[in-house]
Amino acid sequence: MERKNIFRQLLEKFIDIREAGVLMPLLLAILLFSAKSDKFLSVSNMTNVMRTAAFTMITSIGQAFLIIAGSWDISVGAVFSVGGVAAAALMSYYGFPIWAAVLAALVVGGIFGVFNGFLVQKIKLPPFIATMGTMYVARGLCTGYTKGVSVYPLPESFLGVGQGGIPIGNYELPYVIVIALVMAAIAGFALRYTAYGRRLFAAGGNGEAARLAGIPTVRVRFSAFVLTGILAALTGVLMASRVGSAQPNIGSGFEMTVVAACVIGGINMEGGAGSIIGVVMGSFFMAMISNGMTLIKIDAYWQQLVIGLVLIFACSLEYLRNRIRASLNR
Amino acid sequence: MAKTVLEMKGVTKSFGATKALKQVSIELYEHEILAICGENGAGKSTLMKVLSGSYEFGSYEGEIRIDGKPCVFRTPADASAAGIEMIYQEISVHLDLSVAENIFLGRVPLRAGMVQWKQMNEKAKSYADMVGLKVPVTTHLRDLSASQCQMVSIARALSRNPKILVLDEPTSPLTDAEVEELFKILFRLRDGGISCIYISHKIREIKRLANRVCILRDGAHVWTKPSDELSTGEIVEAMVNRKIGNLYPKETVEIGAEAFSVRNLRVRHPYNRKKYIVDGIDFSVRRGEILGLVGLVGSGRSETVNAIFGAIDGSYDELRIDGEIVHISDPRDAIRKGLALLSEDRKVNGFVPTLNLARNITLARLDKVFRRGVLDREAERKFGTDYIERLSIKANSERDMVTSLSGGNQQKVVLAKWLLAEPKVLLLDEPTRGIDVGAKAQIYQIMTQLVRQGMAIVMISSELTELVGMCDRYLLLADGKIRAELGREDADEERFLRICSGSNR
Repeated sequence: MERKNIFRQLLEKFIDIREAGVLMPLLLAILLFSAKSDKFLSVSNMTNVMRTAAFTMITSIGQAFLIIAGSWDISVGAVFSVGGVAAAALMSYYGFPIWAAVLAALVVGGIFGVFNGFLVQKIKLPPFIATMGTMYVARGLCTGYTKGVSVYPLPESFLGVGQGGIPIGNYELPYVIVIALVMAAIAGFALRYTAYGRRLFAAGGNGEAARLAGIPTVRVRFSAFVLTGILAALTGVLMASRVGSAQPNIGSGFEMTVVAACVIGGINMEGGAGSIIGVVMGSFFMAMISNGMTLIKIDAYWQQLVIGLVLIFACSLEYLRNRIRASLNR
Repeated sequence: MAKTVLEMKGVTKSFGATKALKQVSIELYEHEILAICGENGAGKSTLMKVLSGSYEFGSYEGEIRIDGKPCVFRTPADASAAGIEMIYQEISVHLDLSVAENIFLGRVPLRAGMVQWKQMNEKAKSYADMVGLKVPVTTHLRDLSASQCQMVSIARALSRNPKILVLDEPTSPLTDAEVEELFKILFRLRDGGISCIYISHKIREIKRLANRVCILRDGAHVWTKPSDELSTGEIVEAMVNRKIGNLYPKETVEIGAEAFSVRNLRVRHPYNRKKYIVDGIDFSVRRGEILGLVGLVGSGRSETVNAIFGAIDGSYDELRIDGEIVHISDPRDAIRKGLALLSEDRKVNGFVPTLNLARNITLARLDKVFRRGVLDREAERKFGTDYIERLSIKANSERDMVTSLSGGNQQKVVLAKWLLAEPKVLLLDEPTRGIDVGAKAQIYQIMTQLVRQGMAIVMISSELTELVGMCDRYLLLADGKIRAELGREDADEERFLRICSGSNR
């Protein structure tokens, strides 16, 4: 009896953690991969995983804000491509200084955010439709402008951002990881400890109640759209710097990776709940799962299956939580 | 003696400990319109949900007989198959489908999986003619007026060959002329052999329309009498007949300067753009005063406070707060200028379910817990615990989720949010709906304290007793206009009901 109670308490505590949905498979996968492959936990491999995760993470932060505020954006993959192409073209074809090209790319991302915000908040299109439209527009701009050809060469000093790192002894910590983690820390703080974060939660938790309590819900969601656009473009810029060229099609499918990272990390698609630490773990999981499976020689063709199952598990836990709690209290 | 079409015998329906219906029996004859009247919460809708199969057979006690045969309705489809069709207050049609498609919704004639458009449109035409709908059946409902949409719902009901038609407040979205049209149709149907049950609290309508009137009060059947023997007074008296207890801690406080006034407030009807649901209202309220807005559902009382608060679109010539002319653009603006609105439906827009108690309480005044934009957790905790104590909210801690509290305590959380906003004028829309007597009494206590401190309160309630108990002055609304203004000494439920149901005109 006594033991049962402890078990119950632990279970209750565990399901109360929002991020439980990702934590469990994350730990299991780490155990599995490290048991089957010596390389998996090596510093160089973990750096690799973290770097891949960093790209997902930066855009996911914006997406998470937006989902928490009660909307979402599937144009991020296309805006990611646009951001890279815009920055690269300005540097390579027009000779812009690096800072100006990057700034311009972020502005372009922001404009896509404004466009999405306008469609969803003013025209009142469903977010899926509006941002799908934007996705095609952005893709079209990208491929139309480049004729599908990569944009390069890029200045050597620009490549340093995506390829270089902070030297710590023999080890080099990639700038990309540092940038992503610093941004995650700032976003996590903003979400939990600022009035802006509270407004995001209120707008997504019950938009009408929030509006009646004086929360400018339209403006709040609008700002999250703009932020998402800017961050998607920034991710594209960093990716161009990492691979040495801007590829117009690189962002295809990225939007789903980002939404998956958010959802696996415990961001509730219905709005009003979630955390940045969840997004960090979700992004890490998405990067780790393909890396680990490749290392233990699971056919790449099967990897999506695992991602799909984890996604379903993580989300189910969110919806089952109340039922589990109710049955525990009975 | 007319033939009995429908008999409901000894119907009792409970929700937990409360009995919504107690041994109610009604009979409906052939060629008859039977009106069922009662105040809000008297059990009219519950009775009709039993009849329509919305409450499954077995979830209530009692018996339903049609043409003398006992019936078992497990779903609304069963009731429909037995010849009972419902028409609701809210227009329930599909705006992007044609008249014909709406009439045959769910039963579109098919041959080999293909819709038989010609056949459907021809049949639909005959039903449209029956209700006097003179538009092509291929017209989309979006292009029709509110009354024409209501006609389509009736045509749809008729297409299922009903014996009995139940209409629940069908006239609330309609203008006077449209109501006349509806009545003509109902008379024609009655004479053609379809018996009707007509639910309404508009006594003027009932007396014209119904052959007999059945009164429900507090879930019990009071009497059923032929309508031509009845006076308006008799009906009202039977509907009300309650004594005011000592639930109401009304104190005489000093009435101060004018806190709020509005001139020529107008709000358009959401479904019927030609109609104003609030049609030129002027009023003012003073510090220390509780003003009651009295009116039936659909009288425009809720829209009045919502438009003032900027929650819905409305227009006015002039609005003053503390004597100063102001303009309010949205709720945010309203809060800043000293207004607060406790809205009607707590569960829909009263609180944010994903935020805890303290965070809901501080939601309207984030500036009080975020110093220079950064959360002061101690302040948040303190506001939470303070209001839990001040309003005696039953909760374990300020971090409890609002959804885990009882209705009365949820309502106190919502009230706490508005008190923290320190309004000059507090607008209360149904502040005690769906909460138990103990919590009600506490909310009345709080209201009394607030006016003692000089706040002005505007209160809306469907419970006339509580208005009589708590307010200093009353504005009686009907059809979007002020019909009378009464002082506390003239407050009387019967009088309210008579004026608001339009039977004085």
